Amino acid sequence: MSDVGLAIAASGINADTAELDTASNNLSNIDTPGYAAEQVNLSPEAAAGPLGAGQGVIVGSVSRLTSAVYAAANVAAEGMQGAATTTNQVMGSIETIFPEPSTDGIAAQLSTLFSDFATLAANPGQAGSEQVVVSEAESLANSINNSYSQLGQLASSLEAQIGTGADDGGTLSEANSLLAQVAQLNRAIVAGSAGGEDTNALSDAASAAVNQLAGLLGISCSTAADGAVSVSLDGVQLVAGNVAQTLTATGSAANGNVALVTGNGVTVDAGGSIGATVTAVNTTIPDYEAELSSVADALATSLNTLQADGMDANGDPGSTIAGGWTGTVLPNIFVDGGSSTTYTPGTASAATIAVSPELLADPSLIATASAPGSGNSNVIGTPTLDGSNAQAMAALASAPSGPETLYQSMIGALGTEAANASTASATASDLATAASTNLSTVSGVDENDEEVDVLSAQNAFQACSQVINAMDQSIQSLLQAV
Amino acid sequence: MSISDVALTQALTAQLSAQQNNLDQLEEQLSSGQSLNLPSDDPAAVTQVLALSSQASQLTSWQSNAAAATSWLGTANNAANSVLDTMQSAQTVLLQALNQGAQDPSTYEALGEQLQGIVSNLVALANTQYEGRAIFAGTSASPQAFDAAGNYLGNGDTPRVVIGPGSGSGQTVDLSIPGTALLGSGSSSVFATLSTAATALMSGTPTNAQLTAAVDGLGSALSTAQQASEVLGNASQEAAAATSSLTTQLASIQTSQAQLEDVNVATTTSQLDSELSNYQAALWATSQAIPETLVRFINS
Repeated sequence: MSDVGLAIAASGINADTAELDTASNNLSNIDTPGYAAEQVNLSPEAAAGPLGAGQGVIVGSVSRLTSAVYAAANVAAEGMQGAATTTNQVMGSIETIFPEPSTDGIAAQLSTLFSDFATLAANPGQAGSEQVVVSEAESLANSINNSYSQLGQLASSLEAQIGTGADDGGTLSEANSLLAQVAQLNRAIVAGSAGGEDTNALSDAASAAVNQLAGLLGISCSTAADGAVSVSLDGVQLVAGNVAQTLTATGSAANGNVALVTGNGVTVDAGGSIGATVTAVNTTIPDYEAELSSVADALATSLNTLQADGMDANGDPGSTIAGGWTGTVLPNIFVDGGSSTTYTPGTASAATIAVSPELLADPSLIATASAPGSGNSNVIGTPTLDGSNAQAMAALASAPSGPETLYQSMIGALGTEAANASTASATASDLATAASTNLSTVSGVDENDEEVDVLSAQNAFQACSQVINAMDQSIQSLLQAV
Repeated sequence: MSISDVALTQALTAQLSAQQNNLDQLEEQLSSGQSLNLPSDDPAAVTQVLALSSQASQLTSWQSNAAAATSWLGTANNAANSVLDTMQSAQTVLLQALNQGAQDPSTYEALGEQLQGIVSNLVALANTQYEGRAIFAGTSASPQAFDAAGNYLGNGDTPRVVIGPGSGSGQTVDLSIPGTALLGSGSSSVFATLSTAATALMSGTPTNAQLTAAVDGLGSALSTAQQASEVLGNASQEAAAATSSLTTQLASIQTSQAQLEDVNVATTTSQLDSELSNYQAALWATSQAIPETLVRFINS
């Protein structure tokens, strides 16, 4: 029994205090994102005491519990989840633009228009039926315009959501500030660990930032021996040591060429929610705009062709058969863009398809009658109640590549893509949960484990105190005995 | 292996929100009465429903065309039957004139006047209208099929409507026939025959040859009109058959559409019921799992 004994008991108290501190830190950070549970590394004092007994315990470092493999898998899963969730949201938004089947959707309006043509075919020259056809065509054109412009609005709101990368509140500026944050933390980690300081909290912060970056950009990361985290995307290093690249968004949603460019001018192909948004803006939405336009084109060109090749009930000829006719020549049914007379098919024609102003002003200018020819006695300039051309227009309803068929297959494709996106999102989210559960089996804080640690540290602390107390009393009684 | 609190919380919230999604979807189905509200609800079924609705809309317009055809043909048939009756009464007049041998001129004149009346009756019948359109004027826009003198004002085209699928614009049914098919045209028309006979009778001294020619002419006009009447009758049957087959088709399409689209209330309600109890169980589990820790256990 000596001072050595007191020192041994004191080292135990030290160790127990460190255990209690760590447990309390772990419990405090139980829900902190990126936090990895800490563990006190204890080792017995190597030097043996005078009688060969041990000399107590040494409190080594406090280490972060983490697994490089699980952490990398978690980052990858976060990236995929970010992408899948965003894609699912985008598809959901596109779907709400086309809420089929419904009684007032484009499909229903197309059917109504063609059955209005059928009614007109049975009543050629009847002003009411002509008016119904023209009004229905106009409201159909408006619906197509609306859906197209909603797609455009969706693309520009997604573009605004990404932002330019400058400090504009966009997700790209968020990613840039996270990249800068990781670089700064790297500097502090390297400096701290060189100076022997505890850098666990810095590593926790870096890991939280990297996880967020993974969700945004779908990055990959690795940790160097000195604790510095490097972040790369698409083979380009975004954070190397204490240097971070700044990403800028170039191009525009309107042109479908939004791209992410590093400060060095390298274009990177991002994943995560930003990558998925870029894909939506550049590819997905323009594809649906083009498909809607092809529906509009099929509608306009097929009806315009029949219109040009027929005569109205007054005998006015369409443009194809007008020849040298000097009277009224029938206008197109549908026009588009800046023109009030012609229709030009294209990928953006759905934006501007409209009923010709001339037809709106005078609905009687619909070519209900066929061109003069065999099988009829129609004559240009002579009124006729032949409805066979209107019948041909109505028959477009079941045409194999007519507007209705095109629209139906577009909706089918949209539904399949949206359903797939939803499944992919659920799967990615399951995978991300699994990855984070795996990581948390190493890094997570288990409240019960910590509680056991606290109890055992508390007991050990009391025991060591008891030892000190006992030694103290022994020394006291010795002193009194002298 | 330690189960961290974060992992537990994540798993529980993921479970709860998945169940809440299912509940939302079922509730939406029940409140809208439709199992398909968005294309992704069931892409194949949505495409099918759209195709079926388009087909239904086409069938409906064919159905209304067939109904219109039935009305047109009904009017045309009535007119044609009246034409036949009227022609038969003309025949009676002519045979009377022929068989009674030489008569007093005033008797012939009276018969001639009767015949003239019959001609104007025939003109009126030939100008029968349906919804403002002269049904025997072909596809011509002329409001009258024949003028008072019995000259044809229409054209030779048959007005038709589409009543079903088929080549070109589809299967058509005739709404009527051109007036000339019923009443003949030019010098061989029933008007020309009867007017000539009436003029001869009015002269007071018709020759036997004139009367015989009129009877013969009227005989062949009657057989023409009978044929025309049969054509109209056949078309009428065609329209009626189309109406009933279209009604059947439409009903079957609407049934398959409803099967795809409408919510089966019994199934959905019981699904909702079981989802609700699952959700409550998950909520209970969550409320139990989170507070149950060592600290709580020791302190209690």
